[in-house]
Amino acid sequence: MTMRELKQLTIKNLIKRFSEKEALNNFNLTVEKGEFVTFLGPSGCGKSTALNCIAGLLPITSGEICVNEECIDNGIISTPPEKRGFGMVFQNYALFPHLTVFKNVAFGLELKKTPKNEIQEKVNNVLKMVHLEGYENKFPSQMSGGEQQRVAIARCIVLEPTLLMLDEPLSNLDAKLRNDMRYELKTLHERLQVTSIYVTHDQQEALALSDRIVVMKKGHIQQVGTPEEIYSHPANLFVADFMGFRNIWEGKIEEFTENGAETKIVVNIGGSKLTSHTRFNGNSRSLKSALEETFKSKQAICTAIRPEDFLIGKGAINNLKCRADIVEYLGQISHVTGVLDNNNQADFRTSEKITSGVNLDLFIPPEKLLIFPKEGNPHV
Amino acid sequence: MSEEKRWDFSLVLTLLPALLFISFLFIYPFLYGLFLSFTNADGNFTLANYARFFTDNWEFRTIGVTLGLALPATLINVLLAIPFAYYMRHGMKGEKLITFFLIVPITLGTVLVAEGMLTFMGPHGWLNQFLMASRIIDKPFRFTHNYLGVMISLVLQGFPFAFLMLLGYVSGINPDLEKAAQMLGASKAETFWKILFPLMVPGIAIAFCLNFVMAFSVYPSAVLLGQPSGPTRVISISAYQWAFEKFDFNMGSTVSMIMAAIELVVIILVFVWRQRIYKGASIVGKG
Repeated sequence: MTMRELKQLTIKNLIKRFSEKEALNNFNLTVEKGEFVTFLGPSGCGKSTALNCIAGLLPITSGEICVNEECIDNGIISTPPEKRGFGMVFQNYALFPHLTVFKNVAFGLELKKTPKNEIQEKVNNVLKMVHLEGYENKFPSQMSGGEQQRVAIARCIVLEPTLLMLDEPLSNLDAKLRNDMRYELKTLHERLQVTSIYVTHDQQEALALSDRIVVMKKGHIQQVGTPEEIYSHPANLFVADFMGFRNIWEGKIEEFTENGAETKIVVNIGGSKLTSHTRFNGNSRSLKSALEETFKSKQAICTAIRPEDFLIGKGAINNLKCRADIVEYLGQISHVTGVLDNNNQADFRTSEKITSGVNLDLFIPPEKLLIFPKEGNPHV
Repeated sequence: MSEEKRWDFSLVLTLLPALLFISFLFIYPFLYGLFLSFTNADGNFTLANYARFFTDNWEFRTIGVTLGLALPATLINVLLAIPFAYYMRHGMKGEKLITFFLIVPITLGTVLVAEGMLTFMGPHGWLNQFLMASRIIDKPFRFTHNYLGVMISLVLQGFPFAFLMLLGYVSGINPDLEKAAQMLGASKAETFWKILFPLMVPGIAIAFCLNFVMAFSVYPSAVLLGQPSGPTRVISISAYQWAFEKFDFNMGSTVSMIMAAIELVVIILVFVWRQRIYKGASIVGKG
């Protein structure tokens, strides 16, 4: 049963267990045609497991995977991977070392008994698309990592898969090549409009490429949203930490007031009073009620601030004193690690020249200060 | 760069023991044997030794006898090892135990295995008694002192060897290659024949060659389990008899040289086959 078209991929209550260990728990997701969805998370979060389950390379424990409402896997009846019509690009490229580039790319077409001249034409076209004309007779071992990965992509898209899956395709490449390939992937997706699922642990990649990001941790989905939502409105402390909110401090809520659309929360962090102004809307409403609950039950919270959101000098509120300990020069800016007067560590970035050991004033714009219930704090 | 090309004398010195070892224990005896095979007892050059071997049917037929044992035994060992290695490529429960039992016949050595087989498979051995008791046969079946006996011993010793070699080879193949083939639409059988088998070919070739050389120079089991005076008079028995029973070292060397030449021909044929199937530059590597 090969689908000619994928209108919608639905994953319902997917559970995957390895002996006793739960690798995926209640995974629910709908991917629309043409979407670029990224599974993002640290290693061991289950993102690759989820991908392999969708591909049919791993048997699922329970749940359902459906294409256009038609079930392709429910743990009992399972369409084998070769009949799903999906394509997959592997982290280590997985090119066939005994076959030339041409033969690698033609592999799937030959299995389908495509006529010879058609194979020739399609392979030539796709190699042109990934800028590998003239490489037809090379063997994978004679090529660089970036070239090999392009062959792997060509080998997939030549079959016009209904769903393209990419399992950390850039993580074996060096930093410069990774950026180039990221750009090429983006161009390719815009050109082919093929529904794609991308797995990575790199938030930059996820932000740059995706229409939607699924953040995962230990087999659980933490948040699903657009790159903008994930970046600016993380749903919990884990997502915030993963998305670069390096400063996570523990404290208690002292004041919780609603001011029209804005919520004002005053917290006490080791004696320093900090104020946050947040506009909770849509998906973040549940965070608001969770914080209200935490305030009423006087439970601990954590604040989260990005290093680039600190300002140097004195502001109207949210002033802190800091001693700079380590200054890392990064060109345009410096990354400073210091200790605050409330004994918390602060990581911040500034374009000002700072030498280590110096004392300075910092303040945090109240709309940049995020607050989360403490449970799930990755540092505790 | 030019400095690296200069000979480092101390490095050459470290090679010396190995070079001496090979020269004295392999190159010299081999060349001396080659020299002996082309001379007579008086030390004069002659081709008579070779003429004698190829015209005397009693000697000449040892080639056929040995090939008749070594080729089928090697084929059985390698062809049997391929599916076993394939199914155990990702490891399985009890793998260590299975491997242990496979290694035992290799470590025990040919003679002990032969002695064991003589008692176990002999006319009054357990095997025959069991087969008779279960009414499969009504008189003892001859497992030993014939072609079959030697063959069984060659398989017992050769199969584990071939299996372990191939297992090492197959489990070194990147498992993602199989997944990739499947994702491109290949069934399990297509994945095996188009991907795994071609990648196994170099391993199969090496396993075949080593197994063949071992089986071709079979001596103890041909004597202990076969009929060394007739049907299993293999070429190594002939060489032994010339050298140490008739004390004709020239003739003994000649037989050894012929043995070596046949082995070489078979190995070359195997590598020609390998080259035809597997043209890829290197196996697996970084993928």
